[in-house]
Amino acid sequence: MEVKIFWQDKCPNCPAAKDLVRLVMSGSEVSVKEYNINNVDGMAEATFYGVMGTPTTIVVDDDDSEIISWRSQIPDKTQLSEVIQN
Amino acid sequence: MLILFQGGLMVNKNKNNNNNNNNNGSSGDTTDNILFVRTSGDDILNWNKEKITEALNRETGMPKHQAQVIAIEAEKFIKNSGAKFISAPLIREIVNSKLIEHGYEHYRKLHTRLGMPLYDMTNLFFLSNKENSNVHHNSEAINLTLAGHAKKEYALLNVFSEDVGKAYQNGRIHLHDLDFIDRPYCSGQSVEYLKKFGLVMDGRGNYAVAGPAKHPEVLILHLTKFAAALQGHFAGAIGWDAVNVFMAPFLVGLDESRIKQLAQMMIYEFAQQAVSRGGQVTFTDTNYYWEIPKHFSDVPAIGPGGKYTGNNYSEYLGESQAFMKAAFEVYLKGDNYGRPFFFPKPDFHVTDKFFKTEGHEEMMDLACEVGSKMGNTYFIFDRGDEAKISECCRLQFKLNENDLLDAKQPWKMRYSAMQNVTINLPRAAYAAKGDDSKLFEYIDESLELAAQAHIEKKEFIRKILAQGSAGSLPILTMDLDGEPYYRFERASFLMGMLGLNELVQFHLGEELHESNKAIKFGLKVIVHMGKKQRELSEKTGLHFALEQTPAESTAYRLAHLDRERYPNEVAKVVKGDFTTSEMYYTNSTYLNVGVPMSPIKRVTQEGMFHPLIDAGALTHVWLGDSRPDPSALGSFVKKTFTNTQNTQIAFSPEFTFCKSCHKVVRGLIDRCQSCSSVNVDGITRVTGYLSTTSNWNKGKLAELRDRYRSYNLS
Ligand SMILES: [Zn+2]
Repeated sequence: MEVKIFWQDKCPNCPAAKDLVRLVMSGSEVSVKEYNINNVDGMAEATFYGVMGTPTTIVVDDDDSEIISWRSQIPDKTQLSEVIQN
Repeated sequence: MLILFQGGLMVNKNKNNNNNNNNNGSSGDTTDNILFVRTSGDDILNWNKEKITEALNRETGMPKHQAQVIAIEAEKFIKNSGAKFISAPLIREIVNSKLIEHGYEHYRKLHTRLGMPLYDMTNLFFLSNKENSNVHHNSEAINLTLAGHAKKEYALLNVFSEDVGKAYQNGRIHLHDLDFIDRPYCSGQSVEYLKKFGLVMDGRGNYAVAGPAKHPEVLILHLTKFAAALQGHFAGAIGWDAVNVFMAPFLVGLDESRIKQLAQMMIYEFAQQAVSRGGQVTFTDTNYYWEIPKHFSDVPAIGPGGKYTGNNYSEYLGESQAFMKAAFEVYLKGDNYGRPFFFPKPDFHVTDKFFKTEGHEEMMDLACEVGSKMGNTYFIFDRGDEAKISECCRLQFKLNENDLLDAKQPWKMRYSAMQNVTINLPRAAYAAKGDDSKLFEYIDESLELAAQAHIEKKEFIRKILAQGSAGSLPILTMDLDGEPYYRFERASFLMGMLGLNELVQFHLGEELHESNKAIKFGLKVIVHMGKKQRELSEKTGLHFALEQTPAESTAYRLAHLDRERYPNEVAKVVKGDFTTSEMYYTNSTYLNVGVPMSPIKRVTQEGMFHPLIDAGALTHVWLGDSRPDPSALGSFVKKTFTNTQNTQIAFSPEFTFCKSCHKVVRGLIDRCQSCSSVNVDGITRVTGYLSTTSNWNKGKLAELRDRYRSYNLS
């Protein structure tokens, strides 16, 4: 499992989304990756998951398949906590 | 006089000349020391080396005293040669060899003669051209090929810089349509131009000029004739936006059968117009909308006689839908033998508004029935508020703010891509030898060469257009609405790509379909190309756009050129048969065509690339001899629209047509099931259009053998 956060410069809600994910994930063994979609690598990853806006948070399984996502919004704290505990 | 470049036939120093053409006193008393130059059947003149001096000076700007030295040496060579017949082209080559001996490379280039070897010309008469399977062998097609040959040579010598020419010749990039160097690439426009201004067939008004049509039949004839005239001004496709919407004001009060008759007339007029350029059918795209697109609904409608009807287009929904339905019914029936129409291509726009417009289920059923039975339908997905027109086999433009202003005056909607240059992606992987930064550097340099090629083509077209109506593109300079028909500064320039799959395969050891890692790397390459292309746009002021190249002959040509330089590398990744010439690279960003995979997975994975490709993209679903239920196609189309990023799909069935008994059956077979004739031809989609497989090149035939056919759409 992995949590992916897609963000970009000049995105008002991105810092809050990153803070929330970092907070929920602190102490968890699940890895978190942050992708700046202004970079080539970040944009390539975003395209793979069809990300259309930021902030977007996607939890994927070991096969890169999406388990849950919050697209163009700050993720839901409770839902995110539940997902990573399973 | 001796005109060196004009088909001069022979230098005659034969005193026993036995033909009777020697009406210039050359018979009988000539001596071996006097050369006679025959420049045409009737024209024999004394040899005069001053002609060489003059030609060199005139054509290349070489100072006369230097040219004289060359002329003297050439004369000596010819007189000593002992040859009985020397043609004027040969004299030119002898002069060229002297120029090389003296190190005058620049003058030699300018002194080049463009032409074709006798052997090639003979082949032209007796073998058919396979560069483009829309060209069918006939005398006009020979003219097309012959002219194209000279234009291509000219382009490489005199339009493009040496760097660009070399990159083309060694296969690092591919410059498309060099044989139409003097024309832009493709064009998309609106029927409104004809409705408002009538038909000025030649752009100059020298031929009979027609006022705006008053009757639907006349409008259809204006449309098809103008498309043919435009084909003489563009290398590629001629597209028409929202044809059913703009036809609608002419259909008020007509009953269903009359409208069907009109739709049939339009499709046949386009499909049979094999009298235009090179005996080809005009390469036409026609775009259809079931709803009135948002950007046209409040636009005042133009009716018969070029007059505003007083209504907006939103009020013609019924007529617009009736024409669209009728057109698809015509496609469903096919031609008199029951074969699919190859042109005009119907582009069916699937939008959010489509699903909210009454009757959409029925229209979807019909479009899918056509897709399943005949393969004609292109399903184009315009999601969200985006407005697009689709103008060539892959080229779609998302309309920007300026374009949406144009939509208020739809006759202004004239878009063009001036040229298409394709980047050979596998070559970058071979050169990089596994090193990421080298790979991206190599791609960047290729894109810079492509940008340079575009700048050079633009300059050449600018010079032609600057001649105005006296120039060779008179329709493009025609000004009926305050600006030339061709809106030069608004043209796009396409950057295509070939063989992403083979690049990834060589660089990572896995093909795109084999792992997420591979597909993500493929995405990275295209994102990188997009970024570089935008940087180049900013730097040069030209509007570049990434395009999925419809590589009909390129996939074959570049694989061959790579085999010469990188035989071991090519052997690892090329598709088809490496040992024969039947090999190819996978087109643009496509997955390996031969891999068994569910069509929805292919549409999803190939669709991931589509949002990165500005100028349209397409996924093929090869149906083989299966004929899926239209409702299965319908739910597949809806699923694609809702769940994927894919922007365009087409279903391609295969047919065999018997030339002896005219029966058409599904699937590709060697012998007619009805009459056992082997005089049969296959029909299926080559790249972006349907055509007969007998016209395909070896690379495409190899791909055809490999194609994985989907028999189950769920
Ligand atoms: Zn037969």
